[in-house]
Amino acid sequence: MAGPALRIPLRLLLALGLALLVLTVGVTAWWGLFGMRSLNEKLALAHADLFERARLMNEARSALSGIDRATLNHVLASVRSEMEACEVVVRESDAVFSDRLQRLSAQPLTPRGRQLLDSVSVLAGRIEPVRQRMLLLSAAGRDGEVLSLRQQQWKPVVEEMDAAMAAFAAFQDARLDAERRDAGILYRRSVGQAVAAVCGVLVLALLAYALSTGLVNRALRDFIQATQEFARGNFGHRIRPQAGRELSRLAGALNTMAEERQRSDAERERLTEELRRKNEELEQIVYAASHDLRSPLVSVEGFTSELKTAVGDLLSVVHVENLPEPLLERVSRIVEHEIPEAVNYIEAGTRKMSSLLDGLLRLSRLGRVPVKLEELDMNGLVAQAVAALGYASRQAGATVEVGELPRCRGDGAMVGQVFSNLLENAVKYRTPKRAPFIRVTGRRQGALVEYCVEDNGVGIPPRLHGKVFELFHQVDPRGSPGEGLGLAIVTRILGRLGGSVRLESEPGEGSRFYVSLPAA
Amino acid sequence: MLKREVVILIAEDDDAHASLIRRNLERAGIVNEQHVLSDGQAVIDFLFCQGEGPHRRSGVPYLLLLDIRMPGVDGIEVLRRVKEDKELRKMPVIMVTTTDDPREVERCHGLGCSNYVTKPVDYRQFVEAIRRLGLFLLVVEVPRINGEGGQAD
Repeated sequence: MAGPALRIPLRLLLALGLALLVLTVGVTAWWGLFGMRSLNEKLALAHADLFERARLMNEARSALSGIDRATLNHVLASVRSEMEACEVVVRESDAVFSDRLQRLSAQPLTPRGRQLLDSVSVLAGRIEPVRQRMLLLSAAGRDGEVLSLRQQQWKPVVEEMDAAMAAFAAFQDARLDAERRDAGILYRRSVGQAVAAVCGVLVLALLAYALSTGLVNRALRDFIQATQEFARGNFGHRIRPQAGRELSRLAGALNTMAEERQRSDAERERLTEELRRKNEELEQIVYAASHDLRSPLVSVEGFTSELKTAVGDLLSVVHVENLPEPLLERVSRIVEHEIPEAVNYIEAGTRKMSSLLDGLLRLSRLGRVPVKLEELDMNGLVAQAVAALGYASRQAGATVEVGELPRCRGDGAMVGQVFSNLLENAVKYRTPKRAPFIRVTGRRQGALVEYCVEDNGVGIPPRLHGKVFELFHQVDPRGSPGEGLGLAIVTRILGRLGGSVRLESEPGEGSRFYVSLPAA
Repeated sequence: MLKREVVILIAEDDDAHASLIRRNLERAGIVNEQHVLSDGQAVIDFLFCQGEGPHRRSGVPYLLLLDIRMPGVDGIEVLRRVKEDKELRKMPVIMVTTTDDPREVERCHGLGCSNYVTKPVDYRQFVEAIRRLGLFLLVVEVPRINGEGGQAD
């Protein structure tokens, strides 16, 4: 039988597989649709931050450049108003510069970014005093000193600041690129995973399908083989354990059926064998008994005959000798009447005994004599049986009427015996109240022919309807001659010919024996 | 007439049957010496010259009427042993029995009996069977056992 793991119903297995497939596809789709969108959003946000930082730094750079140019213009200006205009530009640019650096400082920065920003702030603190000195020197007309100061202390610092700020912007750009690259990798990886998941589920589903159809096909092949084996009569064949509850139940049911059949076959064989043995034993007993009984009968009959011969001799002697009249009369009575009467009774007894033994032997041989099946002309066969009845029926004053009888299939000698026995019984069990009337009829009934032997004799009480077919059973043993074998032989013969016999009778009214035989 | 010197052995356990057979053989005109043996063992002892009882005489031709159903050693066994002996096998054996079972008849003929007579209950049939047996005995040439074989007077 299948293990517990294999007891899961196939239907449930398939449903589970389908649900898994749908779930996986759904999750993957959700991941694709929503997961990707959120990834993109995150990426866009990161982009915006980086852009913003780069923008702020570039604006700070522009402001620094503005301060540089305005300071130079201020130094070079010769008109007061021009100087003031330059100073306004410096103040505005410085405000922008400070503002942008402050805003950048407020942003979450990497250590590298923070370092660059800090260095810019430190440098910015150093250039303002240099600018004031340059303006003072310029106002004093010391242009040569202004230029050298600008060349030595202002310009390198401003350039260093610009470089740091450019580096910061470049760093942000690099980070942006890196972010983009990472996002791309992440995206591609996600898509790859999703595709792999879908493929995996598809492969799993295919495997599950192949497995389940494979199991069903294997089961069907097993069942076909099993039914072929059973049809061949091989009920020792067993179906191997099947996966799936329904299949294993079907296999179990078929195996149980085969087991039952095997058991009943064995039982039937045993009973048949027992019956055969019993039958053989019984036939052996009947055979031996009838032979051993025949031996003394041979003596009785043989010596009865001897006695008759001797009496005949004695009679001739008596007539030859001249005996006195009274003595002659007495001897004559003994020799001519009393002894012959005794001899007659002995002979009748031995005849009956002999016919009894013959009947027994016939019965024991019925099972051994081969049956010769042929189409039988029942009109001729029954006419013969009626003719054989001859003396007995004439003596009883019986009328026998035979109707048109359909043909049947059987063994001529055996079927003739059946009708002889039934006709003999019909004459034998007549009633003194009326003249015996016997009628034989027949009619086709499907695959069978049913013949009826009807009489108006003594009839048989219902309680004896089964008994009369038994061996040596006689309804009234004192009232009628015979060995009580006739109907037993009838039953036995019909059993061998595939026929049957049944009885309808009312005591005092008569009997009807129905004989069924296969139609010709 | 059957040659006088042939001795008829009647192997029959039933005295009545033996008597009937004797009477009817005589009535049929057979007056040869008859010797009744009451069972199979007695027949074996007589023929093979063993045991207490009478033994066969050398040089005398015998004819055996053999009943099949006898207590102890039965007729079939006697027939088998007679037919196995290279001297005794020349002796004619006629099975006399109540059995008319074809298989039994077949078996006896297979073992080599000369004839087979069924004991009918009908006395007239029996006499007829014996008479036929007598006629058979009249024409058969019975060899001497341990002698010179077929004997003519």
